[in-house]
This record gives sequence, C-alpha cells and structure tokens, in this order.
Amino acid sequence: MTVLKRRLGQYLYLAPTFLMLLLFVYYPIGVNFGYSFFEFNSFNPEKLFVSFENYIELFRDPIFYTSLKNNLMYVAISFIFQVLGGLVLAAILEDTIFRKVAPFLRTIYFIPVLISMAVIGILFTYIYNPEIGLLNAFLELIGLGNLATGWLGSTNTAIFAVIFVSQWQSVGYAAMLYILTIQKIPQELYEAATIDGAGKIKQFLYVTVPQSKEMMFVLSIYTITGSFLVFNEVYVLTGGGPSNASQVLSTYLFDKAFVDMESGYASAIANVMLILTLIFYFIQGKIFKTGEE
Amino acid sequence: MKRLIFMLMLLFLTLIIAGCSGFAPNKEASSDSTSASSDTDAETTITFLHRWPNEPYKTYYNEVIAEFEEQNPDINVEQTTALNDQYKQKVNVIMGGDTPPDVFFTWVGKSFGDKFINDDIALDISSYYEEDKEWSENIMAQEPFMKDGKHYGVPLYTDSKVFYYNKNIFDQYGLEAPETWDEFISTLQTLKDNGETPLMLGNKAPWAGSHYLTAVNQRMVSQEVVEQDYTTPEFTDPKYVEALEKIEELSPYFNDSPNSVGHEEARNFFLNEAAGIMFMETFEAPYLEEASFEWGTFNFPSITEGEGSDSGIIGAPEGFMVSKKSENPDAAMKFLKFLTSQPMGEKLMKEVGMPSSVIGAVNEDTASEKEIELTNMIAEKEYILNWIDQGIETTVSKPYMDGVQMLISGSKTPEEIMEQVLAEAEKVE
Repeated sequence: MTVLKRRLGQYLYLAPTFLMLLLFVYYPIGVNFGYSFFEFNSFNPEKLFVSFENYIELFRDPIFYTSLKNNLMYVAISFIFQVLGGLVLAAILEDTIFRKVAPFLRTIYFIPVLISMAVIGILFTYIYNPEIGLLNAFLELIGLGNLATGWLGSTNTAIFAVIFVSQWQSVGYAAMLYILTIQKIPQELYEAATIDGAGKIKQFLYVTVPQSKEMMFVLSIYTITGSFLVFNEVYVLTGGGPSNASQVLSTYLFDKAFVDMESGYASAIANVMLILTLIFYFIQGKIFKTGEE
Repeated sequence: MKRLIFMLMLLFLTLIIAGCSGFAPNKEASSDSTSASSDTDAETTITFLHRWPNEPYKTYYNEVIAEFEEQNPDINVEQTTALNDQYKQKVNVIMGGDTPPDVFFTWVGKSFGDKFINDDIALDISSYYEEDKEWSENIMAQEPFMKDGKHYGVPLYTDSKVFYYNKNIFDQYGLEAPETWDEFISTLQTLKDNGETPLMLGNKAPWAGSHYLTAVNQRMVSQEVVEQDYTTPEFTDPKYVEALEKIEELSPYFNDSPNSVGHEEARNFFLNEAAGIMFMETFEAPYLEEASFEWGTFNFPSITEGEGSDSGIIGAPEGFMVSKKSENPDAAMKFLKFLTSQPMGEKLMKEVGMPSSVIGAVNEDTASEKEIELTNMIAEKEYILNWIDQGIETTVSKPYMDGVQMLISGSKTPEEIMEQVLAEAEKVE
C-alpha cells in the first residue's frame, strides 16, 4: 500500500511536466507530421491531401540543398570555434600566467552573450556595410583593401559573414562553461603530469581534454542542434538573401510558411529538420558514449 | 529551515495564482479608465492594421484616429502596425487567424490584394459605395480593388516611382535631366568619370531592384504582352531578356554592392549627397525636404529599341480593405470613409506628402509645386504598370527578383534568369 502510494506520488510529481511536454512539444510534432502531407495555407482551412508530394518537391528543390549546405557549414564552423576553440580559450584563461587578467577577459568574452541578437544584427550590418563599414575601412588600413566587399550582399561571403557573427557571440559562452569544468579538474592530475615531464600543451591534451569530455558532449549537442535551428542571426542580418545564398533551413521554412503561404511544404521542412537533429543527437551519443554523469 | 523554504514557496505560489486571476479584470479596468478619459462611453472597438509605425506617418494616424473618435464617441479604434517588409509577413499571418483586424492595409495585385479577395478574406463593400455616392465618386483609382464589378477596398493614395537627382551635383558637371536611355547612360558615365557614385540602390530586400525590372519591362515589352503576362504568366517574349540586359548595362553605375544595402539606408546616403541619382517612390518626396541640396525628378528614360511604352509609369494605388470576419463592418466602413474624406485626404498630402486618392486633395494649399507635378503625372498617365513584385504570382516574381540581385552582382546572365522564370511560370495553372 505504502509502496503504491509512493509510486503514485512520484508519478503525480512528474505529471505536470509530462502533460506540458505532451501538450506543447509532442502534440505539435505529431500534428505537424500530419500537416506535411497536405497542401494548404492559413487563409484557406481546406486542406488538399498530396501524400508525399511535399517531400518529393523538397528533395528536388535547389534552395533546400543550399540551406542544408549552409546549415552543415554552420555546424562545422560552430563546432570548431565553440566546442574546440572554446576549450582552448578556457584553458588559456585558466592558465596561471593569466591569473591576474583572467576575470577581466572572461567578462569581455562573455558580454556578447548578453546582447540581444537584434542589436548585434544592427551593429554588424554597420560593421559589414560596404560604404561606411568598419571592416572594409580596417582592411584598407592594413593594406588589404582589395579584399573589401559588401560582405552581407555578396553570394559568396554572406553566409560566412553571418556564421562569424554567431561565433563572435557564442564562443564566450562555451568558454565560460569550460572554465567551470576546468576548475573542477583535480590539481593533482596536473601535478602528476608535470612530474612526468608534460609541458603545457601535453597537459592540455592529456589532462584537460579528457577531463572535459562530458562538457564537450553537452556543448556539442548544444552547438550542433543550435546551428541546425539557427534563425535569428540569418533573419536579422541577411533575411536569407541575396538570392537565397545565405538561406538556412529555418529561414527557408519561415519564408515558405509566412511569405509564400505554403504551410504544408513548410511542415515538411520542419520534419526534415527534426530528423536531422535527431540523427546528430544519436551519433553524438554513440561517439561520446557518455551520459553517466 | 525547510519549513521556511516551504512557506516561502507557498507564498510565491499564492502570488502567482493571485497574479493570474487578477490579470484579466485589471486589464479591463485600465482600458476602461483610459477610454473614459478620451471618449465618454465607447461601445464598439474596431482594430486597424497598417504599415506605418514610423514618423511622420505615425503622428498622422494618431491624429486622424483621435479626431475620428472625437466625432464618433461610440467607436474606439485600436491600431497595430508593422513596417513595410515586416508587414508583408505579419498581414499573412494575422489575416489567416480567427480574429483578424477589421480594417487592414493592402497592396493591389496577385501577391496581396487579389489573394485577399479570392480567399474570402476581404468583405464585399459595394453596397457602401452605392449608398454614399458623394463620397465614392470622389475617389480615384478604384479599379485595382475591384473584382467582377464588386468593390473590395478603398484606395488611400497612388504610388509611383521616378528618378530623383541631386541638382548640385548635376550642375557641377553641366548635366541635365536625361530623357532617353542613351542620354541616361552618358549622364551616368560623366558622373562616374568624375568620381561620383552615379546611381544609389539599396537592394538588400529585392523589391527595390524589381522596380527597375518593372520599368525596363514596360519600356521594352509591348503593353499587350506585359498585361497578358500579368494575368497569366508566360514571359516567353524575347524582349524580356533584352530588358534584363538593360539593367545589366546599369550595373557598373550602382554604388558598391547594392545587395548589401537596405533601401532606407540607401536613401540616407542619397540625402547625404553620396550619389547623383536614386530611383524612389513619389511619396518619398517629403524626405527630400530634409535634404540640403536642390533636387529634381525625371521619369524612367525612353528606350528606342523597345516595343513598349515610352512614357508610361510604374506604380499602383495602395489602400485598405475590411475583413470579412469583422463584427462591426459598419463602424469599420465609417472609419475608412473618414480616412478618405476630403479633409483627411488633404491632411495626408499636406502633412505626410502622400498623394491622396481623394479627388482634389492635392492642391496649392496642401502640396508643393513639385508634389503637384508628380501627382499630376500619375493622374494623367494612362498606362501605369503595377510593381512586378506585387502584380504577378509570388512563385514567379521571387526567382525573377532574386535573378535581378544576381544580375547586378554579375553572377547570372539575363538568359539564365529568364530560364528560371519560365520554369516557374509553367507551373502556374
């Protein structure tokens, strides 16, 4: 009786969260899955069943592939800068040499995280501006004037200009999390490594990196799914332009749903995004073999 | 300690619950008190969605609404706004919902106006046109808001586009407003040779470039063909390729990388004398009053080898519709009629420089000489071609406009663009 009671109590405690998740996460996912087999728009409640038509069209759509490629680039670059670069940055900041300035630098790196993306967007449109932009002026100053271009308006550079803004904003956040992890690493390990004759780089590779594995796993999920779902940065800076060159899946979805009014097609894009992020999640789980902590 | 935490949490929870339940009546009470101060006892509230959250328009609408509420104490007007590019998304979302605004702004053509009419979003307001002839006969440009002889909207003003030029810069190099394409190119060349930026374009949102496209199509392709393609898109005429070549010819004269500059930003550059010429809408004339230089305008130059019109202009009326789901269509129409009444039309011209659709609203009292000139130009022209981004199916206009972006940056040829446009046009039933 008491056991049953306790069990019941446990479920009762879980119930609110579970219901909320069910209502606001799983139910919409299910409904959206159904929507992707129809052709409709929000004006016209009548839905036309088209079975897999939306998916077939999607896999033939060159803009879908541009978006996918841009997302993958986003993933790759964010992984290098945030998951790997963040760790290096954290290790440097935690090094004894920087002890005095570390708190100051930490704040500097962390501040961009606190600024709203809309503000950063406006800031960087001015930095990238071809007429009055700081970036082009800087390039001219150091004699690289021939590299100056309209960063956000050129099909070759637009997506990279956007990705860079993301890195600028997020690397501080990653570093902050790594700093916490590094501070938790027992000092004895470093002492032992020093006695064994390991230099700074070897200490980093054989002590810091393995000890931060859990955090790397968490951060890589965070960065990779984040890069797949990225919207604000692209929307504020380029709106997916010029000529769809910097389109990512979520901005393309938005365009389809709210500009072109092809809701069914947009649902199909959403489902593909969900599947992609799930695949990445499972692969990561396998590679890192973690989750014990 | 545990007990204390528990008590605190309980307190917190109570506060939340109290806050939740208290919210609704509070809100009502506050809106009651505000309305009580502005007008005695409001019975109906109509919602009004438009695209001018920016000055000077914001003040204009606030004043007009205040005046309307004063004259009609039983009607309350609540406005929601979003600027141009945001509005295009917002209106699509809001109008599909269950409680759309009673009165909303729209462009005419396939992208917005026709869609609202065909998808049963807009209310048939013909009876109001019939009832009040005194008002309705005084409105210009009703036709684009009609379908099968029925009225679905009220035009507020007619917008068009001309080249604005900086007279100081022109005088410096002894230039005159060009009339033909060749003169236009040689003017641009002179400006370029003297180190000026000849043409300012902010094509980040590709509609800016699409206005060039509309204009060259009007010059190059015969009126009959263009009108046919606006009805059912085919775009097979070889002249369309030549039209794009004309834009290509202009690309060396634009500012650096126009695709990365927004239109508003470009306009500010132009106002700061960063360029000689800019293609702008007629209702943007008031912005030039802030300019420190003398300015003039000229129509898109004529092109001799073109089969189209030499002097036609591009543009369209823009205005308001009443939503079919509106619970107070009478109040909504009352407001719309007020917006397009003689005094409000005059105010629109005088205070924000928009050429009102009310006949006679643009006169010596309300407008400057140049503004009257521009308005007369619109009123006199018989051939006004709707913007291509509004006039044709979005599925076709999108690759077309994106194509112009690529054309300007030199990464696509006119033939490649038309190929894509044709492919999309074929898909339209």
